[in-house]
Amino acid sequence: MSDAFSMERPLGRSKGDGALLGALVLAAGLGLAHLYSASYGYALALGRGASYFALRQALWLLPAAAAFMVIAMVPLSFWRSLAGPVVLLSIALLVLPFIPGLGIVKNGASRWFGFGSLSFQPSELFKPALVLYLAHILAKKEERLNDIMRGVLPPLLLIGLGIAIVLFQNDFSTAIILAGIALCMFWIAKVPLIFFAAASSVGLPLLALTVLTSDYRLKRVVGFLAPRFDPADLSYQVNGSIKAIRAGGLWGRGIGQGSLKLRSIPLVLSDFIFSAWAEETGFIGVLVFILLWAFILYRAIRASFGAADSYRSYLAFGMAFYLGLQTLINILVAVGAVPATGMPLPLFSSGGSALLSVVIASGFIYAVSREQRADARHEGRTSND
Amino acid sequence: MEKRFVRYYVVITLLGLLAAVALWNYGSLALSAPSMAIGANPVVAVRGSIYDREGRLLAVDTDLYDLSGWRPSLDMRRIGLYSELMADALGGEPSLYLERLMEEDSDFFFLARRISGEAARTLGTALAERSLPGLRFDRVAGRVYPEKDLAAHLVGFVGTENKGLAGAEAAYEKELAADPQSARGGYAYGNSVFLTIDADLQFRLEELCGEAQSAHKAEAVVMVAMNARSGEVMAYVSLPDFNPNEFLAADRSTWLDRVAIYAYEPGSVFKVFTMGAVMTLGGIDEKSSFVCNGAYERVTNSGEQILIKCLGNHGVVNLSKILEYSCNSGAGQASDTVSALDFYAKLREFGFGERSGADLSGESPGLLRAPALWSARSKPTIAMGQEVLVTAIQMAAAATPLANGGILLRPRTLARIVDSGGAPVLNAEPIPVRRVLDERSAKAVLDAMEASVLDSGTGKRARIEDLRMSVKTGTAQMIDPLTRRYSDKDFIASTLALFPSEAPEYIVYAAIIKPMGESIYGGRIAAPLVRDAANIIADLYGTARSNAPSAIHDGRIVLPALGAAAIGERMPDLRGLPKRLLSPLLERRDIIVEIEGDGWVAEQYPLPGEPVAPGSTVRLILR
Repeated sequence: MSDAFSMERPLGRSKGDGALLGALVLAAGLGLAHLYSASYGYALALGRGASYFALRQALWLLPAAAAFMVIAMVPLSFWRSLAGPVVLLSIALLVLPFIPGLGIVKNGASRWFGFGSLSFQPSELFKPALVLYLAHILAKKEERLNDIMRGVLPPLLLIGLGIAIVLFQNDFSTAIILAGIALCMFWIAKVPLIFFAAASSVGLPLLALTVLTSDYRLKRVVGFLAPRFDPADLSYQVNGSIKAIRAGGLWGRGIGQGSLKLRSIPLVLSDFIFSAWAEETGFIGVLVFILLWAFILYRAIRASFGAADSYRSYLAFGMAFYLGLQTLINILVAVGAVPATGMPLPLFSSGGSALLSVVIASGFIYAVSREQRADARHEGRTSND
Repeated sequence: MEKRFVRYYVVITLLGLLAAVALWNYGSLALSAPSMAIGANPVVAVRGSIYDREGRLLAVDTDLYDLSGWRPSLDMRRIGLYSELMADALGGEPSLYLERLMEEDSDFFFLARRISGEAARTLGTALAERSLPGLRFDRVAGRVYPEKDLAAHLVGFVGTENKGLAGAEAAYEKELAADPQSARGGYAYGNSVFLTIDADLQFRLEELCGEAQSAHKAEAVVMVAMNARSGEVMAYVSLPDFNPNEFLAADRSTWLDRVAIYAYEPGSVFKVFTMGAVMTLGGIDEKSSFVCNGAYERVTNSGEQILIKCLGNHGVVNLSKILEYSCNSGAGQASDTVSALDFYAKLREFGFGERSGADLSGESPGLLRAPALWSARSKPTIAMGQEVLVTAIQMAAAATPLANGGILLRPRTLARIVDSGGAPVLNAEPIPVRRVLDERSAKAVLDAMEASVLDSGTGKRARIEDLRMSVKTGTAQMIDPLTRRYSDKDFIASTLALFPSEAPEYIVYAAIIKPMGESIYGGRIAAPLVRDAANIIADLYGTARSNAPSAIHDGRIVLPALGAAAIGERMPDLRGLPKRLLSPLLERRDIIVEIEGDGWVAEQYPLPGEPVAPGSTVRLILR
C-alpha cells in the first residue's frame, strides 16, 4: 500500500468520527432542552402547552436526523455528481417567497414560503448547497483557477445570482453570511490573491463596517441599503439581551430561572437565544457552550485536513466555516458588538429550516470524516490501516 | 503545519479573533460590576453656589432638565398618552409632541431642552404612575449668574461639564465641584463660597465707574474698594465687563480682569510708596527738604546727564509738598538718599513684582526689575511710578501699611466656605504679611496725602467737606506697543484714597485707562470718581463724618445690608432701599405697588409697622 498515491486510490471507507458525532448530538440535545426552558413561558402566554415550541422543534429534528443519516451513508462522490442540479434547484427555491400566495412576509422581509402553518426559508438551504457546489467546482477547476475569467467567474456569477436574490428578500444578514462562506471557499481553493484584492475593494469595506463597528452611522448605511433591516424593535432587543447577559453574571440564574428573556426580547427563541442561555447558565454555561462548539469545529477541521481529496477537504472546511461564522455573529449581536441582524444560533435557535440546514452541513462534515486519506487515519484508529 | 493548508490557517485565525472579540465583549458585560448596569442613574452633581459677603446669590446651578426619548423603548401602543402627559406638564399642544415622537430619524431624540425642574418632576411622576418607559430626564449641567455682569471678573464662569474656567469659579473649583463619591440619594453637592465683596456696593460702584467710562470715553476703568483693616476686597470693578451667563457671546477683550491681571505703569500715585520707603529706610524725615527748579537733574559718576522734567517749578519741597504737588524732582531727589538695593527691597516688601495672593484664579505679578538690570535713570524713574508695572489689586494692598501703621495685609476676596448643609468649612481671617513701614513713616505719608486735597493740591477734586481723605493722584503715560516709546495720547489717570484720614477704614483705588475725553489727568478725572465712591461707601457703612449728618440725598437712611424688598402682613421700613431691590414687589398680585421716581426710597405709605391688607395700595416715592 503506497501512501504516495493515496490521493488517487479508491477511498477507504471507515467509521466516521465518533467524537464529532457525540458532540453534535450533545449540542442538539442541549439546544432542545434550553429551547424548552426559554420558551415555556412564552408558550403558556400564547395559550399553548408549556412544551409547544420545544415539541415543534423536536418534530423538526426527525427529518433532520433522517437527512443526516442519508448524507452520512451515501458516498460523497454521489453528492458531488448532484452538486450542479442541487445548487440550481436551491436558487430556484429562493424565488418562491416572491410568488403571491406562496410567499410569507414577516417583519418586512419575504424570506419564507409555505402553506398554512408550515413555512420554509429557502435561503437556509442555499447555505449548504453553496458549499457543496463550490467544493465540487473549485476542486474540479483546481488547476485552472489562475485563469480568473474561465476558472473563477462562472461559479462566482452563479452564486452571485443567488446572493442577489437573498438581498432582494430583504435578508441582509443571510446575504452577508453567504458572501462570507463563498469568499472562504475561494480563498482555501487557492484562487489568486488578485481576485480577493478586486473582490475586497468592492465587498470588504461593507462587510468590515458591518462586522467591526456598531456606529449609528453604519446603521444608517445599512438602513439605507436595506430599509427594513433594522426594524424599530431590534435595538431594543439588543438592550434587553445585554441586560439578560448582565443578569447572568458568572454563575447564571439557574436553568429555567431567567426572567428578563421573555419580557424584553421577543425574538428570544430565535436570534437572541444566546442571551437566555447566558442569563440562565452564566459565564460558566457560556464557557461550556463555546468549548463544545470549539470542539465540533476542531474535529471538522481535522476531518478537512485528513480528507481524501480537495473536494472533500473544501466541503468539510466550508461547512465548518458556515457553522462557526454563524455562531460567532449570533453571539456578537447578542452582546451588542455588531448591529442587530436576524441570524439563528446553530442547533439552539428555534426554526425548522435553520435546523435542517445546520444538520445537513454537519452530515457532510461527518461524511468527510468517514472518507479520509489512508495516511490520515488518525491515532487511536490505526487498526484500520 | 502543512504548506497546502496555510490558507486554511488564515481562516481559522480569523475565526479565532472573532471568537476572542465575542468572548471579550461577553465577559466585560457578564463580569462587570453591577453599578455599570444600563439604566442605573448617574449621580447628579450639584455645584456649590457663590455668594457675596451678605449671602446674596452670585452664581448657582440651574435646576433645568433635558427631556429625551429612546425610541426602541417607547410603548408605541400608548403613544398618544405620552404626548398628552407632556402637553400637560410642559404646555403646548399634544399634537406637537406626538409628531416628534413619531418621527423616525434616529433612535435617540430630544423632546424638550432646558425644562424647569418642577415640570420635569411633574412629568416624571406622571410617566412613572402609568409605567410609560422610554423617556429620560438629564439634569442640564448649567450655571446661572442671577446678577449677570455684576463682579463678573471676580465671580468668573464655568465651561462644559460645569468646570470653572475663570474667577472664583476656577479658583475654588475643588470646593465648588461636587464629589460624586459623596453622593447621597443620587445627589452630590459641592461647597458654597462666600466672597468678601458686597454686591450692593459693587453694583453702585460699577454704575459709577460706568458713568466715568462713558464720560471720559475711556477704554477701561478699574476700581478696588478695600477694607483697610482686614484686607477684604469690598468691590472689584473691572470695566468693560460681560455677562457670564453668555460669556461666549461676549467680546473676548471684556474677559480681561483689569484688577488683577492687567499690569501697567502707575505713575505718580506710586510716589506715596516711594516716600514711605525712603523715610522708613532713613533717607529722609518729615523735615527733609529739596529744591525743585522744574526738573530732576543729576550727573552720574560716568558723566551721564540725567534730566526728568517736573510739572512745575515747586521751589523748596518737603515730604508733604512733594505729595501735594506730585513733585517729580523732589521724589527723584528723595530716592537718591537711599541705595538702589535698599529701595528695591523695600518696594518688594510692599508686594510689587509678586502676586498679591488675593485668592484669585489668575493674577499678574506686575514687574519690578532687580537693580542689576537698572539703568542710571531707573531709580528716580521708578520713584515717580514709571519703569514699574503694577496691578490695581497690588496698589490697593500696598496702601494697607499706610492705613494701619506699617503692616502689609494680604488682599482677600474669599470670606468663607460652607458645605451644602451650611456648616462652615473655612472662615477667612485677616492675613498680616509683614511690616513694611515704621509707624512714624506711615503716619507721615498718610498726613502728607491729606495735604493733596487742599486747594493747591493735585487731589483737591477728591475732597469731601465732611470726610477727611488722604489722596494721591497720578497720570501715567502709556507705552505705545508699536513704537515701544511713551505715547502722547494714551494715559492712565488714577487716584488712591484712604479715609477717614484720622484712622483709615477704607481704601479706594481707581484707574481710568486711555481716557479720550476732555481731560486725561488723574487729578481732574480720577479724583472725582474716587470722591464719589468714598461718598457711597461712607453712606452705606455709616462712616462717622466730621459734620454729621450727611445730607446728600433727602431722607436717605443707611442700612448696613440691603436685601430685596418684601412686604408681609405689616409694612416694613423700605426707606433707603435702591430701586433695583424693589422689583420683587411688582410681581405681587395681592397688593398694588406704585413706585414713583428713581433712586432710593425716600417716602413710603403705609408707614413702617402699619398693617397691609390684601388689595391695598403701597406707594413708594424715590429720590
